[in-house]
Amino acid sequence: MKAVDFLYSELETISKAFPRVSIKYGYNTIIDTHIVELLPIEEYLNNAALDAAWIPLSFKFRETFPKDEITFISSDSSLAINNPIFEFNQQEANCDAISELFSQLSNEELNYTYTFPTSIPIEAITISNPIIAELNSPHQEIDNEIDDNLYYQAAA
Amino acid sequence: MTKPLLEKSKQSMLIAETLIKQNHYSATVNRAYYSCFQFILHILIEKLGHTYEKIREMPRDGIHSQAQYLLELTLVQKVGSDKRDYKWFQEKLPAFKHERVIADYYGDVLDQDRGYTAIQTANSIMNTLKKYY
Repeated sequence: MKAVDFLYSELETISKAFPRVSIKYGYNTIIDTHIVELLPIEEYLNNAALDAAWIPLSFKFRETFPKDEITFISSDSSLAINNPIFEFNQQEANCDAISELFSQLSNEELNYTYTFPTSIPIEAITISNPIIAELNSPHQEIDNEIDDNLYYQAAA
Repeated sequence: MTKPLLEKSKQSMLIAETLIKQNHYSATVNRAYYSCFQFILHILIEKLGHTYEKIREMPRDGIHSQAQYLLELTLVQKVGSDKRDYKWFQEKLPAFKHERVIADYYGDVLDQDRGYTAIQTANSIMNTLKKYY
């Protein structure tokens, strides 16, 4: 029996015992290691019964296939599986799907273009008469000579 | 009595810390990983009574694989009913190996974040193992 067939059979048994646990299998060619990902991470971290199922399997696998390596991980691992070779109890709305959904929304947000108006509609402006008088003055040099009084009036 | 692998492990970590100050980040990852691996060999030989020759003769491919397997056999017992440290170790060491192989053979020269992370990972693994050995 090949290592992958052995794992398929054993992981299928675990998947039936833990229907809420998603099990992904992949192979990391950089370190030549079989990777088994258990999701969600809360189950991996806190489910003692699940530990009792996969930890003995990890040793049994390495005793049966002494040339093969294996590690069991969850979604927080840098070895996380992107393209599983097989999967049990695939989650309907798993984290990847949620991330994908929010990624799409995020992209729409980032790509949303808003054209800022280059002019202000005149009806939107309410200016008191003294300021209009100031602005209409032919001697007004707004950049250099605007005084505090103008700001006070604008704020009033 | 000398403990050559413990001394080698300390030296490798000192070299890693020196290399990162010189911006040699890929080599930092390499030395940090080997500091950790030499520490594991130190435990197997000095604490658990294995010999280097015996470790090499065992059926697993490569001494890294064999050393991890032998250590896991005892660690899973030592942690008792709370398996968190065992689970962490059995994932962290292969992930660290992956980072070291990338650093040595693949892609671009690594950045400083990964160099510092490697030193931190090596120290985390060694400190976790010190709790039990």
